[in-house]
Amino acid sequence: MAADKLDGLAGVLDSSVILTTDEDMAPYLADWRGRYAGRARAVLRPHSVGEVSAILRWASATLTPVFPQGGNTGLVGGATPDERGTGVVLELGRLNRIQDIDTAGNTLVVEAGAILANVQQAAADAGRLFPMSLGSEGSCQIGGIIATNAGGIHVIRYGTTRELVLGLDYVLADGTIVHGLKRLAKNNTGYDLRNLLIGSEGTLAVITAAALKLFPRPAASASACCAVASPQKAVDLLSLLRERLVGRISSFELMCDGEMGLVLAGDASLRLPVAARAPWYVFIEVADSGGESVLVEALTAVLGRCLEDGTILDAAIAQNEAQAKAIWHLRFAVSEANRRAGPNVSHDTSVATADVPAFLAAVSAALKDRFPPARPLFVGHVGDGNIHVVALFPRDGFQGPAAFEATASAVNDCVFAVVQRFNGSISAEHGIGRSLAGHLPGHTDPAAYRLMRGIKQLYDPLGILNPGKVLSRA
Amino acid sequence: MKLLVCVKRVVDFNVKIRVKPDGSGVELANIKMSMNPFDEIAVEEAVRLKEQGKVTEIVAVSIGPQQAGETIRTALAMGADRGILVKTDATVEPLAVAKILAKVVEQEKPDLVIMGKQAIDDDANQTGQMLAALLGWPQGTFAFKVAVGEGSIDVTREVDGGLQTVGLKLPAIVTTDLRLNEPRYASLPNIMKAKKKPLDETSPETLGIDVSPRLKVIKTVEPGGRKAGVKVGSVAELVQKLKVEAGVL
Ligand SMILES: Cc1cc2nc3c(=O)[nH]c(=O)nc-3n(C[C@H](O)[C@H](O)[C@H](O)COP(=O)(O)OP(=O)(O)OC[C@H]3O[C@@H](n4cnc5c(N)ncnc54)[C@H](O)[C@@H]3O)c2cc1C
Ligand SMILES: Cc1cc2nc3c(=O)[nH]c(=O)nc-3n(C[C@H](O)[C@H](O)[C@H](O)COP(=O)(O)OP(=O)(O)OC[C@H]3O[C@@H](n4cnc5c(N)ncnc54)[C@H](O)[C@@H]3O)c2cc1C
Repeated sequence: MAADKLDGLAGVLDSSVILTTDEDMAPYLADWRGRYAGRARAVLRPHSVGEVSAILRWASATLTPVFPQGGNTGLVGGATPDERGTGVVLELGRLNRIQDIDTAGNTLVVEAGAILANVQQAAADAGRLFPMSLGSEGSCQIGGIIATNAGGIHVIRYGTTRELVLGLDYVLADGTIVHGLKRLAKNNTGYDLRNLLIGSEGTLAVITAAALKLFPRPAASASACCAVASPQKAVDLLSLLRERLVGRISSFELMCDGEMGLVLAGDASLRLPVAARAPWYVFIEVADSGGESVLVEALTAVLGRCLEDGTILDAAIAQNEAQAKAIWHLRFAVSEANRRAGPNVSHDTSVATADVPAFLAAVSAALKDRFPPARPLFVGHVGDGNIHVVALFPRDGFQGPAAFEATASAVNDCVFAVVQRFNGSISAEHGIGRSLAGHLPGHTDPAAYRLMRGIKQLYDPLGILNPGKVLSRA
Repeated sequence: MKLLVCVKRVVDFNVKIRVKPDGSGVELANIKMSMNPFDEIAVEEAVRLKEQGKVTEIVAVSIGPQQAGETIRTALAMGADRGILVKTDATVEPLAVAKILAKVVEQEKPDLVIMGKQAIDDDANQTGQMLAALLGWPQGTFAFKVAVGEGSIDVTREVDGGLQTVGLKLPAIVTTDLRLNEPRYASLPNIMKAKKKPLDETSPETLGIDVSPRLKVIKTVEPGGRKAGVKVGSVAELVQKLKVEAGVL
């Protein structure tokens, strides 16, 4: 019977769009973290908006769940189909054309399946900057970063994905195509549906194209890695840099020494930029349109002062692009290093920047108390108050996935209780997906949660779009 | 033992260079400049020899515009003791550079000169050899490993098909290859110390060297783009193509 329904689809679509063998489908059925193994009747890889629309029309008619997927790098299981195997994965990678670059208006129009790194490159080739930058940029798609409202390392300067999107084209659950690719900086015409779709994680509509903001390419940049004694020192350093290098800080990232150890252990060619291991490290990038040496001089002067007054213990300042890349590689290698290191439960929490030191101390204490075998690790975007809290367990710590899931859930509760005390967020940039759907009601105002359900009902009355994600099944 | 290292300011290795529209050279305006990577390796080796107690003083020399002083500061931050900037805004060709360096060597009397095997801007690979010839000193080029002895130095060189070790009597010239070492980061304390290290300035004229170019650049063009590949259907077709079209089998 299932085959009949898919046959109905096969009549509408080119055969190259439909993947059905286990081998062909495998990469699309598991999440990046390896936490979920889903099933699906088919993986669909359309070439055009028309085909996306046809698929959704068919899905609505047949009540087939559709799981939208981009680069499948999401960290909360949002793009993975469930285990029921009744749905289809809709992967957007073939809609990858860059349609327009406007260097006067500083806008770029691109289809949703384009890989982020290719969009960055296209902007660079046109002498502009598309500032979204994160560890998965070589695989994640524009549709994916929009659907998750991704953050990354430049939020401190350019904001989250939300701030970078001017307009969207998308397809509704019933196949209706909605055009909204306006390249307008100002547009107050009714409710802002674009902002509703940004961060909707594939539960409201399928994004097919976006108009994005570009920025001038900073002519000069400088990177440094600093050793600091505590998170408080890192926050002190940030305030001072903000004062002295107004508007020029592009990234400001914190990493604990345990995490640095994992990163260095994973690749013998990596080197610690500073002279000796320290309790914490800060990664800094500053950039502006002025001269290179002036910028390096300004950064050196501030850091020099911080060295003298004890705010930092040591620092290495990149003397060329190769060293800058090597410094940032350490920060980007974190997700891979954790995946290699063993079973870990990772959290994407945020609190007010000033609360970061107290929050880290409280989480650390809570985890040590409740889960003694776990090693707490911290890395994150301090400038945004966004710290990834990772509890790393011994390699042989669990008898099977169920045992791990049970502990992971308890670890989540433990960390989120601390988040709540600090009036923070349980998901700063990765979204809710499947992993946190159960936690969302407990951390959202009840009226706001009811509105979310109402919006879902309005956009997707049949409940076929990414069921079980963001909002748990009713 | 006193050591001289040569450092050149070049377009950063990671910058994608563009040819000027009129073909007269490459675009240098607003481009990130850094120390020639082979020279970084030379400085690193010099500093390691000093840390091993084999060298007492490292002098870093650069020939170029005022900003080449920043390149010397980087060498000082890595561990060189003092710098000499031979300031000129002219284009200085390898022979003129070698003549200037020979003059500096005459004045400084180092026991060893370490420099890059080539600079990544012009890729000439000539200066070290010319300097050795002008001074009548032995040369160990493309160094993969160096071992300093009493009044001598063993230089293991990267040559076609393997490694070759030559023993040189000091004073000598060594040019560095890529695998000699991995240069260190400049640490903030050392960058601050470097600001206080002496940096002397002189000029080709003061040294009595005529730097007028002897070569004329006729044209600069971008390398041709790579041709797109083709998919072959079978191993047999691949072999056929390699034989007939590529002519490599
Ligand atoms: C190494 C690594 C580092 C990371 N670093 C960061 C970071 O610093 N900051 C950060 O915010 N995130 C980070 N992430 C996670 C981040 O959310 C994803 O990388 C990215 O935003 C998701 O893009 P994707 O194309 O892979 O989407 P997927 O994982 O395929 O999908 C993510 C969600 O979006 C939905 N979706 C995808 N495409 C569409 C579409 N066209 N229309 C509708 N819905 C769609 C999916 O259904 C799913 O719910 C990282 C991930 C990795 C693996
Ligand atoms: C001389 C002049 C110059 C202006 N220049 C600009 C300009 O440069 N740029 C620009 O964007 N606009 C401009 N405006 C228009 C602008 O929209 C208003 O000045 C301002 O944003 C409205 O604020 P208000 O408090 O007067 O709201 P009102 O005029 O009282 O209300 C505006 C709307 O907001 C609603 N509203 C008001 N308060 C609330 C609330 N607390 N909760 C829910 N809804 C509420 C009202 O129901 C109404 O729909 C200008 C207006 C004037 C008269």
